[in-house]
Amino acid sequence: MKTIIAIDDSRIALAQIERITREILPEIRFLKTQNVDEGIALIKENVSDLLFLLVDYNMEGKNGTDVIKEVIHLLDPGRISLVTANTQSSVMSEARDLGINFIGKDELKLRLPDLLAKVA
Amino acid sequence: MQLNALQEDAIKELFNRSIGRAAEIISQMTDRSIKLSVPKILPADSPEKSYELRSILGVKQQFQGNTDGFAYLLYNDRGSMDLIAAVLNVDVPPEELGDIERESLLEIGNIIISSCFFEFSCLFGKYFFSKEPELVKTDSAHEPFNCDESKMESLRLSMDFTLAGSSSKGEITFVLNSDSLKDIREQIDQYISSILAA
Repeated sequence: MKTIIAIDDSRIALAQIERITREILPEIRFLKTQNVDEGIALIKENVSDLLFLLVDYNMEGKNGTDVIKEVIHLLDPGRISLVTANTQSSVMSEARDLGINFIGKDELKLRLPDLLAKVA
Repeated sequence: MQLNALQEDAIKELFNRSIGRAAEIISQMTDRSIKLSVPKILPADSPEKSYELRSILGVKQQFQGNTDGFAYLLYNDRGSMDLIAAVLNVDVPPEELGDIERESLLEIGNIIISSCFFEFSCLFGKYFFSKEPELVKTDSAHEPFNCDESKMESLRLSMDFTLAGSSSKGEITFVLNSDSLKDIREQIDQYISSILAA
């Protein structure tokens, strides 16, 4: 079953991402975690079904690009996005260098539906 | 200020978004990246244990409206001078703080604190009317909160806001009128409900 995985240390942020996702893809399997290592394990377990991956940037232990670097060889970078409130150009550059998408949390409602519509 | 786990998660996420926006602005001003930590809520009664600020140079800003209180942006003084140096492109020792350096620090504080007010206003549908920012300088971590503590309760939100290549550490603290606290908790709960209700 097609799956979306979201990793964010905030439960509120995860709930917001899930709500927007389900408005676009109501039947999707949505997996979420606040723990980066658990998130990496989830990705590896579900890589064959993974439609899209969303990862926060500022998290305890590893930042979002560190997490993505561990799994990017398994996925199409176009199906990965950083989702962060840290919208500095230096962070956007990190996403650009990896060839992945970037969504500022203040534009989540606008950008996420577009990205999901493209990959669905 | 007592908050449950979900309320803490919500307020930290709002704070994270506020500081993220402020970091973008300060990064553009300084042409340097800002390293941000994960936001934390600190114990209100032991600032010296949770945050090692011995010598403080920062900005205090009073706000009024639906919620009354004070916001403090506090840095160890080396951290403040690093920020000022990055904005002005000159290195000034703390003892030689002049008008331009003071104004720069006030502006940086104003940007960061206003960014928090903006985020909270958008999500709570409330307004914060802030007064002119003031400089705070002290040698003790206990001194900056000099408002009438009998009527105030603090919400100490902390986040490292570090210039690339600097060891500066900063903390933002909200000291709220006790009468405003019930209202704030209700607003946080409404925000949580709006996210989780789907």
